[in-house]
Amino acid sequence: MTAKPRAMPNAPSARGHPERPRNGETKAGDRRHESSRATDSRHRFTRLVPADRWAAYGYASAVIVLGFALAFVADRYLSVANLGLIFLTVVLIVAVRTRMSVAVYTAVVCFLGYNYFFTEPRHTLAISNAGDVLAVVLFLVVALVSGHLATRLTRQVASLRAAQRRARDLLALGQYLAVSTEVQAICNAGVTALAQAMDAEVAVLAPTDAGAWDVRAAVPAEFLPEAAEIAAANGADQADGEGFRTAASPASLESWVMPLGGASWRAGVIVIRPPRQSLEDADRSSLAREMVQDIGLALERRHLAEALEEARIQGETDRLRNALLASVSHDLRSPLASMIGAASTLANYESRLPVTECRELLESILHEGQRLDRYIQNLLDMARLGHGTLTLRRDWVDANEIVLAAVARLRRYYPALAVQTRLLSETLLLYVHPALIEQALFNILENAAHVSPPRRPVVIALCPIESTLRIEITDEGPGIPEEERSRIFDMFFSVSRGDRATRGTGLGLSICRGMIGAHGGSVEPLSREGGGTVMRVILPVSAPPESST
Amino acid sequence: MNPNAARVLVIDDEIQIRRFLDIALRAEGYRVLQAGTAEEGLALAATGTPDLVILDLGLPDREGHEVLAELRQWSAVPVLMLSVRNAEAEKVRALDNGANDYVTKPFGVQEVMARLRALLRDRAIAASGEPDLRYDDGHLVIDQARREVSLDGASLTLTRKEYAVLVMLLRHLDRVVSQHQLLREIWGASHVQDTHYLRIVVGRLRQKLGDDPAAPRWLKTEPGVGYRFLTKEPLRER
Repeated sequence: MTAKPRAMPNAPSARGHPERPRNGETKAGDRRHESSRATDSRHRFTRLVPADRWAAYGYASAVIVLGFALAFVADRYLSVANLGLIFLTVVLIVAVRTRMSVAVYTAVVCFLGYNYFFTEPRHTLAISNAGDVLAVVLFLVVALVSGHLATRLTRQVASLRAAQRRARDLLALGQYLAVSTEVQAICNAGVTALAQAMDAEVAVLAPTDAGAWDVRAAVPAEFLPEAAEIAAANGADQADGEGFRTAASPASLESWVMPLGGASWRAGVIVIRPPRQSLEDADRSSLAREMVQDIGLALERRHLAEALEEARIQGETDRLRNALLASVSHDLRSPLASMIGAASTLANYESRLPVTECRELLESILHEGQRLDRYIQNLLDMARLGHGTLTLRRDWVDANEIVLAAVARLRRYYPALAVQTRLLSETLLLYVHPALIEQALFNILENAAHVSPPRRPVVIALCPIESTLRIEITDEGPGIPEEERSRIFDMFFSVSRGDRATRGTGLGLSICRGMIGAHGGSVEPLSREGGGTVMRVILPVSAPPESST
Repeated sequence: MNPNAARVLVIDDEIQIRRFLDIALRAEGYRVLQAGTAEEGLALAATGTPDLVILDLGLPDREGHEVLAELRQWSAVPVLMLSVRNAEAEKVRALDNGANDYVTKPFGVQEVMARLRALLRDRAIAASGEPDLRYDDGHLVIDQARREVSLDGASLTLTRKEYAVLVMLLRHLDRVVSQHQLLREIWGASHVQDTHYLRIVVGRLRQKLGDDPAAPRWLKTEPGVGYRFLTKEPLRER
């Protein structure tokens, strides 16, 4: 491939017509292609290339000379009539390897030579023996008929071979394309298969936003499109229908430029620089078109799949956004509804209400106000976590203290809840941002409190394990189904279950994971034996600084 | 303000909402029953013989719509739905399923009381057996017996449809009447989708009554749901 000359000294000017040129004005010098390529010897004499004509006749002549030499030797042992068999063999050999015209030439030369050298009287074209006349004439007839049959057979074999090769090439391409799912992979596979099948330089050019062309994939990799090819690419890309273009350039005698993709959607163009002979071969060119079409289809399939996927993701995002909005509005509105209701009750009926009921309403307003504040805090934290603007202000704190702080906060909101704490017997210092860890633990505790059946305890247990601290929060609620466990930290998860899902926890767990994660820790839900959930928090413990006491 | 100490059943899972409703309702002289779940609510509706049910659309165990449908199988008790804003389709569905009115969360307690009174008024009328055929608020007078409408003493000429819409709204004083109900009742079942008929008629009615659609005195639009005939100056909502 690389041995192919890059510059064609006698490159003809660009042919503007989209029709593939038939055999025509080829220079004898082009045969160097032939000699530089060993692959195609089997096509050598079946091709209607003028340069081959003389080779075919030379070949035929050589075989004829050999035949005559053999006939002169055999003349001593065989009758004249039987010598015809030798010449028949010569004609058959030539016919099988060449064309009909060469076979006819061979038959006629053999007929004349047979007549001249071997029939009595020798060295004349006259024949004295009537039997010899019959032998010679019959020879000519049989030679012509068998020559015709042999060339036809050869042609059929050749076309079968071509069809087989074509099928093999298409199959190879199909296999390449079948395993390629990405656009780039499809381009690479297509280019590789085309280059192999056509024995050509091939490139996929993709249009850039600026209206230029980028080499998307190419064999060889250093392929650079020529000006003429780019002009043809523009033409091919804008063409309706087939859009086949040819271009002559310094790099190639004639490049084939074909649009990639259907009429409704274009991926770009394919440029093929076929070797000299392929230019003359209708099969090659139609194979190339077929392969380009296949590549185009593969790309279009991929494009459609991508468009579908995009639409799906877009839909998903919209759905999640709506779910988040619904959740946020629900979380914010619920406490607001209670506050507005209680406040308006106070405003309207204060004078008529007993003091205890006024107190109750005021407490309700206070309580709901705090609830609202927590939701808003969660939302803000979420936004800050999302933007990465949450900075850790680490300090040394006692693990027991931080847990107790979270538990105390929980007790304020859930006074009826039984919380059991299993603290560490010794002081363990954590180097963390105390408010964030407390918030994270509180979120888990609140979730546990929310799902706990009445009078069942929520347990929070601490346990140092090597250089980490394990905090397990256990509830006896309904538990989390296996398939949902990985999703409960998803910001949208519990909220996407709608109005009837547990409220106020949609963001809590995802914030919790974000905060623990920011400290290099982890949170994972485990199932509890006998129902319920264990949330396991692992926090890294670093060695405290040397104390000065 | 105490119509035979009517019993009101509140079905809402939010304890805080139940609490203030309970306090306010008792202050108004009603007797209050409370339920936190759909099951509990349905049971109380059956055993407690409430005169009115306040039902939240978002319950933890079952949808409010289901509760309403089940309730409507054996009871005609007036139902006031609690729903969130921007859920017009929900409201319409609830009204079509037999809810009598709705209040949007968050709401002030006065709004609930006004709706409640309007719903219980029917009960009082039914008890007295004498529907009020004459409406008079000092400006607008609607005399159904004589089929006469006058505004500040001047008689108004209304078309048949305009009069029918006005009277139907009047019969549901202070309560929402859905577009669907109005269209089915006045234009017929085949016209329930032709909301433009209704818009045109209400537009003309407002013109004749000199009612400003932006700040209506009588004919209030409930966007996406229907219309309401206001007996007093509208409550200052939100």
